[in-house]
Amino acid sequence: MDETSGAAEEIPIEAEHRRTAEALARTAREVAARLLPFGLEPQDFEAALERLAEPEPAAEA
Amino acid sequence: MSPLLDLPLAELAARLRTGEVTARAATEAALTALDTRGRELVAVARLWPEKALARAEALDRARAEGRVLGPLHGVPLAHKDMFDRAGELSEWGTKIHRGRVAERTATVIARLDAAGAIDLGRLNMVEFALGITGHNRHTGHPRNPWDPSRVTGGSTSGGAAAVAARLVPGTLGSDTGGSIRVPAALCGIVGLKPTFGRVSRAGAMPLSFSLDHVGPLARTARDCALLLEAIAGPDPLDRTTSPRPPGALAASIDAGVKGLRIGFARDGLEVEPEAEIAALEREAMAAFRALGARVHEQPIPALAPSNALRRIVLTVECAALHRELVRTRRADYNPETLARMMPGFALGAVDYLRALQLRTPLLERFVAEVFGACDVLALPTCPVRTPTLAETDTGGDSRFVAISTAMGSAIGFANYLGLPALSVPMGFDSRGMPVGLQLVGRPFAEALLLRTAHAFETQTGWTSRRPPGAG
Repeated sequence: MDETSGAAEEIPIEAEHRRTAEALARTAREVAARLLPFGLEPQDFEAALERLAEPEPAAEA
Repeated sequence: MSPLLDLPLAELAARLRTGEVTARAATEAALTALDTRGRELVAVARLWPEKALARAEALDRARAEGRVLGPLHGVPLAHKDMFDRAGELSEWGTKIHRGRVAERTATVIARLDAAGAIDLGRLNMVEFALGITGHNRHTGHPRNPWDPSRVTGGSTSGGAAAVAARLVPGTLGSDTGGSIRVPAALCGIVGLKPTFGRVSRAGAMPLSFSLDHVGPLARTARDCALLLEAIAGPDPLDRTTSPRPPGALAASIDAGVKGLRIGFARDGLEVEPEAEIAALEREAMAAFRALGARVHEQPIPALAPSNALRRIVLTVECAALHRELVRTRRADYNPETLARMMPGFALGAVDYLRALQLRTPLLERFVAEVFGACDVLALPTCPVRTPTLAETDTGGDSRFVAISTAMGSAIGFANYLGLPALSVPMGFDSRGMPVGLQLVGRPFAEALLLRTAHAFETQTGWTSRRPPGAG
């Protein structure tokens, strides 16, 4: 078996799972078309979490 | 059942530190409860009584000599069967790994050891932690202590059942798409999925590298705070861990919520909450108002895209991990596991990369739009009421996938965005089943979520209710 080929050729996938995958991929395409600038590399997600953290608000006395 | 097991973890730990309660007595009580009620609930994978009792006696001797190991000195705990301890079985909820012996101890288990906890054994879980209902044909389906005909939720199924039934005061779970929060909600306890990077996953079974989180389940927010303090912090064995120290979470838990902005989500949910759940959420918001919080309806970005992108990342990473096993031992998987995993084999590299590319922009947008206007976001943990085992035991067919997707529709976004999220009981439905309220914060806001949940618990008293036969 060609180990460099995609898993889809090696593992039988039922039609309903293919349909689910297609629906998920369609969503990713739609969101990407709205939000992803062309050429954007994957960002450092952990760094974004650190950057977006803020000191927690204090409760009123 | 021993009255010791009626004590919340923090209270039991305090009595153990002073010597009012011995570690041996607490350990014996928990072992007995797990071996009896725990087996009835199909919550227990295996127990280590000899080793646990030997450790308890050693801890009692240490305390008598004036040495207290840490804040969990002598507290008996048991954990999901995916946290490795060197030399012990760790079977990940599957017959495929029956007899698997761990080579090293998970960082979180080592940290609990260092804090003085006693490890009693391992608890049942969904196969490979891939499933939200709690079903597992290999181990038996764990039973919900509030009604054994109903699911526990998953994948931390045995752990949530054991804590809710008061067999152990706390446990560790993993959460890749709700596996801490959903069982916590369905079993009427508190479960916290920390910020991505807050807690090391080293030595815990991987399901999806980008989405896996480890966190505590316990009866109260204070108990969860103690457990999180013990396990959080940087770990060279997990490169995704944050350099932030865990902080003193329990110390700030009494600060209250007066003046805090709590936004409840209405639009943007993928599945409309059932009427009873929506009514309980309204009552919860009234309780927060009574506590002095500023409560308002908070618009949120639609959750459906984040949920879909999470499923792409989950199923592709899971398919990559399981490719060889699915090829060679497909018939040995639970059908429910395969039903959740298989779309990953049909997705392409472009889809996966898009889902990863979108993660940071969507996080930035969510934080700006939501946490610019509120401090804590509130929404039902699970928009549907707890189903029965029979209703969901359909062999992983399309009905099973549909109800699983609905159950997880309000939680997966927090895994995709890496945000901390906690489930706290917010009441009971007309069938007597607990219902959870999810609190979500900006990155690393665990202390704020815990103190918000603690104020809510104190105001409402829901966490002090016992399921039938407990205590």
